[in-house]
Amino acid sequence: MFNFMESENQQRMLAEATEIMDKYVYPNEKYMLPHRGLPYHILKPLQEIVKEKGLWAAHLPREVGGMGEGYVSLGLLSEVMGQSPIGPLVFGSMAPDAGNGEILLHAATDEQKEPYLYPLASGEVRSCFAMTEPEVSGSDPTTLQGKAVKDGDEWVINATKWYTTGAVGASFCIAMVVTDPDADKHRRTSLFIVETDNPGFELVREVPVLGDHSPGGHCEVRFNDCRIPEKNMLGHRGDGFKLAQLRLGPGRITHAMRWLGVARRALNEMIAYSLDKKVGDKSLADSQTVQNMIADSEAEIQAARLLTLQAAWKMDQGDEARKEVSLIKLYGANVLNHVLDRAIETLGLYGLTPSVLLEGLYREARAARIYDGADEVHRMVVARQVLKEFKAREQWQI
Amino acid sequence: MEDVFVESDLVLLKRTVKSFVAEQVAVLEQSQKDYLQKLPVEQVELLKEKARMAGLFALGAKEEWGGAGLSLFIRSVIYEEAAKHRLGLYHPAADAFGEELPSFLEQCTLEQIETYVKPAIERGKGCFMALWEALEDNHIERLRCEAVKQGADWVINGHKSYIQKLEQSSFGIILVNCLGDNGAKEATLFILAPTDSYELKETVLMDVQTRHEVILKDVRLPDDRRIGKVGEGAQLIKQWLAETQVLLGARCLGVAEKALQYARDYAMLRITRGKALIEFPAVQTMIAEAVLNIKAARLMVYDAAKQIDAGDKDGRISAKMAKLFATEAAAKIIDDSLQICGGSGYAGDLPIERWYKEIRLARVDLQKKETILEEIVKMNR
Repeated sequence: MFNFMESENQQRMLAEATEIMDKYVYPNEKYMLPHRGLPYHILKPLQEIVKEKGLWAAHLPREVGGMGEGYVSLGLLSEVMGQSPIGPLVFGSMAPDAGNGEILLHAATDEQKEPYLYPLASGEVRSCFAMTEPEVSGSDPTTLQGKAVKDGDEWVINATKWYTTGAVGASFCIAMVVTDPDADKHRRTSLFIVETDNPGFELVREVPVLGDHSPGGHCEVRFNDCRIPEKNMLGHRGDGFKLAQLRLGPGRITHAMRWLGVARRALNEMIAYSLDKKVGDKSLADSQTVQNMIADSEAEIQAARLLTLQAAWKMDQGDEARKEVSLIKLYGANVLNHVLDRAIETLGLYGLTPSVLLEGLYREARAARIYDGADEVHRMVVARQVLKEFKAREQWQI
Repeated sequence: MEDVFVESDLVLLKRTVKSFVAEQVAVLEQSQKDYLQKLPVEQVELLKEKARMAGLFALGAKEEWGGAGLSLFIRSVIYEEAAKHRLGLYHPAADAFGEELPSFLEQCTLEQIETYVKPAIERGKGCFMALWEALEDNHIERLRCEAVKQGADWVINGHKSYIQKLEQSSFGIILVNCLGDNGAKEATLFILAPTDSYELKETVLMDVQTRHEVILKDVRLPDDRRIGKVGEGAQLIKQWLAETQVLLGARCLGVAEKALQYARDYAMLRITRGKALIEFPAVQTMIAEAVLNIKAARLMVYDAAKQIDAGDKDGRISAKMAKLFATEAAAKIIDDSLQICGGSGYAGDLPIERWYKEIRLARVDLQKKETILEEIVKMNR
């Protein structure tokens, strides 16, 4: 059973999303601010338009105000909204809120959903996720050091985290810290919801970073004897690693879907420029060298697109699609960077000026090869899985 | 001067530059509290004084103009060393050695030298090059800016873009097409003085480097601003381009080595999955390739520099090849270093983040890969 056609419903959704992008999103890119996204008064009316059209928060189910159309639809829509750095913000599926929404949906109690999930899902508040620590490798979350200690009916957190994306302006944070240092390495950590006005929560600084499209920056935060009530634990004690993985799985694929849009945007910029630019009486697009770059980019984007949609489809069937997700995280991030590099190469110095979006996309894109598992980690995951499958198939004797 | 230079002098010179960068420049950079984008002007001026005392000043300028008269090869060795700090790729030794000047200035008249060149050298300033245009930054013969003779003056119209280090310059040089009576376009160089009535616009490339646009509307320049003969401009600018490409290549070597050093240090310390990053073959491959490519790039840079010093006809194409190879090698090394350092590489706490932006610029600057490949083919068919 192979069918590469969008359903009627999906076609309608994509047409509407494209219209919103053309009418409201691209024209407002000029108001984008580094590390802040769009100013509130510009963003809010745009989000209302998306909600009216029923295209809000495609990653969430209907009962919390999302679209509930599954991963393939989310992928198709992300490809459209990903063409603008403010697209995901306008459509309510911006990282890290999207991932936090998924985690709350899965693990939060009804009592926790009321104050945290619902306002987050509707875009009333923003959130952040504190996992990565400067002192230990982000590629290995079983080595986290920040900890929480039980004191009566409270937990006391002491930790230093960085790459807590979106911390500026966030109303709460989901923190991953060690509660059971002696437990099995995958059962050492737990998740907590920490309100950012907690006196023990300190926003140390916005770390200066290469890209500037993430609203709220990439921050260093500190938990200084930060006391939180027992009821703010998310899921069960020791569930931290499991829940973070649960967040990262779908998170990786939404990134990959969005990258397709970014890469498409870069290719479009490159094509438009090369058609427009004259070299003698020919256009630059007539040059075989440029055509090669266009063809390679198109091939890579199409390959990444099919890999992504196939992984999404598997996930819609209830499969974790671990290998496929790793494949697309690895391949997609590299395609994104290649296409942007070619686009800049084609435009030359003009492509590095603020009058084209490419330089900002290029800087932002470099992070994709690091966050949610560096290239090298996903290569390892893919290789292990492929080897395992081969051995099982061939009944390999070691 | 270079004929009396022997290898041991060069080693000594390199060591002097190394300690100047470590003790003066890097220390100054590290003392800045905020995310460093540029050093305060007054501190750069102090550094210039110190460099002058150490004999590291106006390295390429002729001795009779007050410079050190060092060959391109010796300057390549120096600038590789001088680039080994955060701002080093485009501001080697924080610009303390003064700005590089094009060797074609020896075509200047005595009056031009007294009025423009010598004062620039004296103040450690350079001359900016108004060469490229907004949509043409590769092919000299496709540039459009024009000059028409009116009496004793030339009237210039056009836009020049992506001008580097305008703020560090005390005068400029512009390449324009002089329109002859028969409609012929003859590329010619003129001196732009700060008092000329051109308009300036500032832009920032890749969020890291300030460049300027010069807009000329009926700007009148007297004929005595001309450098060389009418029609000699393209040849002279190509000579400058070759020298500049070699020196960019040399600075890439320094930055690449420094990036490699950060990556190696980080890989030795960072533990993941029970062992240091340096134990992983994926990381080892990156480091080994970096060492290999730095060595190859250095040989190309030195070779091109020596050819240009010797007036070899292949010097120009060798300079292009060295620029291409060194920028591509440095880009890969910086990219790999960023990957090895992960989040720390992506953050501006380490200088890799800055180099990642600058090296992308360097790859398209001073002719990009595709243009250089075209030129290599032209020489080999």
